[in-house]
Amino acid sequence: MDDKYLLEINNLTVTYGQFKIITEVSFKVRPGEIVCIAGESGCGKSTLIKSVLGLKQLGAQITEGSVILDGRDITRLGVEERRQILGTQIGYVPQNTRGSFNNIRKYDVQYKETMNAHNLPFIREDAIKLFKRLNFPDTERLLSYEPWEMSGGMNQRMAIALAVLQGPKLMLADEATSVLDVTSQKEVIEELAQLRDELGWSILFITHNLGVASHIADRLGVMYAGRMVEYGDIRKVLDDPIHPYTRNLLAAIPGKDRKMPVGLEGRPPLDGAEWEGCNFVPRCKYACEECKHKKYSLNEIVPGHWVSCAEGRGEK
Amino acid sequence: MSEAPLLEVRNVAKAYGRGKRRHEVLKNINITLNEGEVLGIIGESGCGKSVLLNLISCLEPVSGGQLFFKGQEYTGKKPKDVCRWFQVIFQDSEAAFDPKMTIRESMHENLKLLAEGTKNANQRIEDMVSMMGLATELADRYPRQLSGGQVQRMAIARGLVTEPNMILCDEITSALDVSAQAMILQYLYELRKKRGLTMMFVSHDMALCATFCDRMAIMKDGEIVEIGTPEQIMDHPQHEYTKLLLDAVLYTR
Repeated sequence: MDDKYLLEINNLTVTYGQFKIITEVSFKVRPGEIVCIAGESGCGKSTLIKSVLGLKQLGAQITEGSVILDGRDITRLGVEERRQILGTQIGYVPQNTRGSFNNIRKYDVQYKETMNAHNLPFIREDAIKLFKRLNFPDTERLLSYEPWEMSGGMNQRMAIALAVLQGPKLMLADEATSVLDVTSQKEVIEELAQLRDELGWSILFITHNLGVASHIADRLGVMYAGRMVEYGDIRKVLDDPIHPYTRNLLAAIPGKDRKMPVGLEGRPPLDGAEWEGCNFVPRCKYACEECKHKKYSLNEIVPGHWVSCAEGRGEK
Repeated sequence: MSEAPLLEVRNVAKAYGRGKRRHEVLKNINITLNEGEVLGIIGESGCGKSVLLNLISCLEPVSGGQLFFKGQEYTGKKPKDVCRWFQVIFQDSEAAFDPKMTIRESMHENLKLLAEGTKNANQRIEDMVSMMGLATELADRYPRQLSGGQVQRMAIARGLVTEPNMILCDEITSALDVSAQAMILQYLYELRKKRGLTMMFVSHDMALCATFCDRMAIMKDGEIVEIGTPEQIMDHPQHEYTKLLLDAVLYTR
């Protein structure tokens, strides 16, 4: 079953009006796999998730490429058709779950509404069983609470549980742990990993925190200015990064050795500005004449590790 | 008195509300901070880290205990009395700058209020801006025209331009990308070497604090549960809560 993919993103290009936000991004997610996409704010990570969910309301447009879910092209589905696959096939956990629940209505009402909107029955016992499996506290009474009574972490876990109840195969998580404290962050990602193990989910996890990625991902993609610059097996990318940007990201994270982290001057090109040559050139210390005129595309350097850079450029 | 610590916080407590609704957010806090020292304060949301900074900088009155600056008690003073000593830098600096003023104008306001002569004001501003690794032209821009990391560095420059004895940093890197965060730390580190900057650094990121703090204090539910050097805290944690926090730090390898 090696050639069977749950989600395929092929050569995807997304624009907001005249601005290119994602340029020629391709990758595939196998069933049961967790793929993390990392990068700075504004690099197009969230737009990537939204292009799977549907972009219509955002004023963005897929101008090239395709999104294929379980063998079916979902790039240009209409509103009604899309509604049928959202929830039941694709689950979504946003960053700000405070904003997605109504703060002053009980969870069970909101759970029921959501389930019914996707033509699913809401069975209280199933929800409670799931809470127990995920080791939530106070499982019997949870559904009669209102979101404002909960901590941010607990609210996030309730959102994940709601997504699970609808039984999707693919889970999209957009910075789902970024607003949480370290301890609740750990709980949430461990839960996601547990669900993957038990239900065979695939998870597409967007984060800027490589520590989180390192903990749960099977594969890691690093995005810069709308392009995928490095992609591969998590250990290969983290232990042996090749693209100078990936190296910079890693050097900027405080490590176990308590060495001073090293930053990166400048900022990514704004609004998808494009020029001849590699987008990273202004911030790259290895850039040469060739880089200023050549666009690199992802190239498999060792099996399972793709980099878009002059090969071995970042070696020294 | 050079022997007296720069800052001493003695048995400080803070409570909100009265009677049945009384809620203690800080209990029995004791901290001493010497000149040139960097103290990290670590804890989860709601543990009282930010309230502590507000109390030290007199933005809020204490409910109990005393505050000393260079051995002299200053409990109950007004913010304007202490802002020469302490400058606070917040998480969301774009909101802390006036959006209708250029960065330079904002800094002039600060200097007018706090520093004695404003003769070399422009020179001082430009020196400070370049010390934070930014081009001096950037000072003539409006806050929205800078990136998040740049605004944050400008906020630090604005805090330091009046030459306070100490800066209090409240989660200053939490809203930033890792690369921008690392840049800020690098410049703060440089400043420490050049000027012996004294700093209180509130953060929820243990790994980050361990890289450049002299001592770290762990807070839980309004109390300091453990205080020690990064080596003591990271390698030999004593308190259960410290161990729990350490366990939740996710490293990349």
